[in-house]
Amino acid sequence: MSGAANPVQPLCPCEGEDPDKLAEFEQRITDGVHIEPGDWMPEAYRMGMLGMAEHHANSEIIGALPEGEWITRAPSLRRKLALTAKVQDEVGHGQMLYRVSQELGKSRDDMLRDLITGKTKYHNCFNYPAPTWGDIAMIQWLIDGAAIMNQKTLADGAYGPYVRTMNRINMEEAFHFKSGEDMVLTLMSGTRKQKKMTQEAFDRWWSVSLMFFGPHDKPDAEQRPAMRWRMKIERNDSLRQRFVNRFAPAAKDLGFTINVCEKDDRGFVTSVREDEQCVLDTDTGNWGFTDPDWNEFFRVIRGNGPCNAHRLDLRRFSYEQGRWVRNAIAKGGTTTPPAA
Amino acid sequence: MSNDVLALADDKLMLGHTQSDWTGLGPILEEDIASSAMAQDDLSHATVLYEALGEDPDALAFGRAAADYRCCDLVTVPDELDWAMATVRRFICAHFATIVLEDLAKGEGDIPERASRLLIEQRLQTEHLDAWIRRLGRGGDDAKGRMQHAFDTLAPHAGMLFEAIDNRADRHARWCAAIASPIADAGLTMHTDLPDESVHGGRRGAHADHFVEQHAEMTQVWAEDPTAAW
Repeated sequence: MSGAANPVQPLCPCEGEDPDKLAEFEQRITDGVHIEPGDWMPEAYRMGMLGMAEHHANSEIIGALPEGEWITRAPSLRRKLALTAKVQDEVGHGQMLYRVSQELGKSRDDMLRDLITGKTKYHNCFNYPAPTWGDIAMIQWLIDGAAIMNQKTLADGAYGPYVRTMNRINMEEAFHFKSGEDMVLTLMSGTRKQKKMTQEAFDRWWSVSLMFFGPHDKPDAEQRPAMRWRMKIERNDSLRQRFVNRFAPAAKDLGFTINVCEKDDRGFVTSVREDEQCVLDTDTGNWGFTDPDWNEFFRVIRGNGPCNAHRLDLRRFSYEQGRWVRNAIAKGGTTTPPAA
Repeated sequence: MSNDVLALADDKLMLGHTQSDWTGLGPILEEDIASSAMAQDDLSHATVLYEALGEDPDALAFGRAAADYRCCDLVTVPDELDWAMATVRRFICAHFATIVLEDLAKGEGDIPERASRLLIEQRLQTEHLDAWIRRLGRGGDDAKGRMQHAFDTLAPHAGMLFEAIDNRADRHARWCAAIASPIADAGLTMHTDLPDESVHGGRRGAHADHFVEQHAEMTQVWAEDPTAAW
């Protein structure tokens, strides 16, 4: 369903926009024509796409940090290379998405500054700890698996530069997922100690993966600008259910127990019980699951998660230690891409 | 010859190790990506050279005691996430690797074909790093000061690249000639004498603490169970 085809009036701040241009814009979206940077668009659309692409870009470069911390400890040359290449890809995704955002009117330096001052956000899942090598497998399997599921729908959106970037990113994410799947398979076929480490990592990341898709949708999600203008294509709850249908049986096949866990402030599990709701409903074809703790979700998103301060501190350090390099390039008048 | 191969492979392993730690933290996204690509080159080069020695690359990379590695001290001197230190170290080491690979490419047996293949990527690295030495040296007083400080800090370690390797005087002279032009163009200076052969360093297993610490970190997960698949 396209937003423009919906008879309900848009819940969007379009006052002052030319109604003919707005109608033409919405018709183009209905017709499946991509919106390009030079095209007319409502200011609310431009700001909405900028916010979305900037948040995505921020998530890529913050997302490089938890895995980046394990490059120096990767346990084989193949894994070390693959992890370095994977984290490098995330930085590359950030670079591409900042370019998309720059075309929507905000400089890269402004975006990097807003990120490190906390003015803009990044994905909540990167505020959790990755204390073992098993967590790296879980990030690549569960979190990248969730990201692919979400981004495949975003590649069906309306804004041309973002759609083309999603298609490129999704190709690379498919490799990340394969790498994660291979790591999980290897560890779950390994020693008792490896299996225990991997189950404990699974316990830390399962509920984070369920939260990955965001809170429950508003009943009128389709009429709101994000879906009406095809910035967002599928409801959070629908994506979450598809994720569970894909990963719950896969996890059980690999020997994982799907648990409901309580965690302490550091993100470490303090108690587990098997999720009895996690069974297949043969009537609907859906797997059941226990809803994650949404109080925890909102606590973390407000900046009080286990690793919020650590991730931002490191990003801030990186920004500040690199300032002299960016200044030097600006002074030298070279052709190297500038920071902003 | 095999001493040179192992020395270069261990240099590459630890250079790739230290430089890959920058992935996601570089000063500019585009250079972060380039730097990470070079780290991957180095890790891959180490693997190819270990294979040339007829050994299991993982066993050589992770399974030796620290004293059995033959890398020089320079590759593990902590850079404290200072981009000037990281760039200068890579520049110095890339030119050294180019010279050793040029010699290995002229040898006999299995090594020359491998060395020739690595040399293609190695020359791209030196070209890239030469440009960055010039760019940062000419990038204003602050950048020039930081770069000169990095050269001054690392120069005392650079001579030990040539510890216990073949044709050390000839290779040292060629290396000095190769690095001279970019350094001069950048308005920077570096002077490194060839140390006396009686001075023992990493190439003969006399490693500094910083190598031992990085070796422990690098092998931490692998050492939990060296017989396990990871």
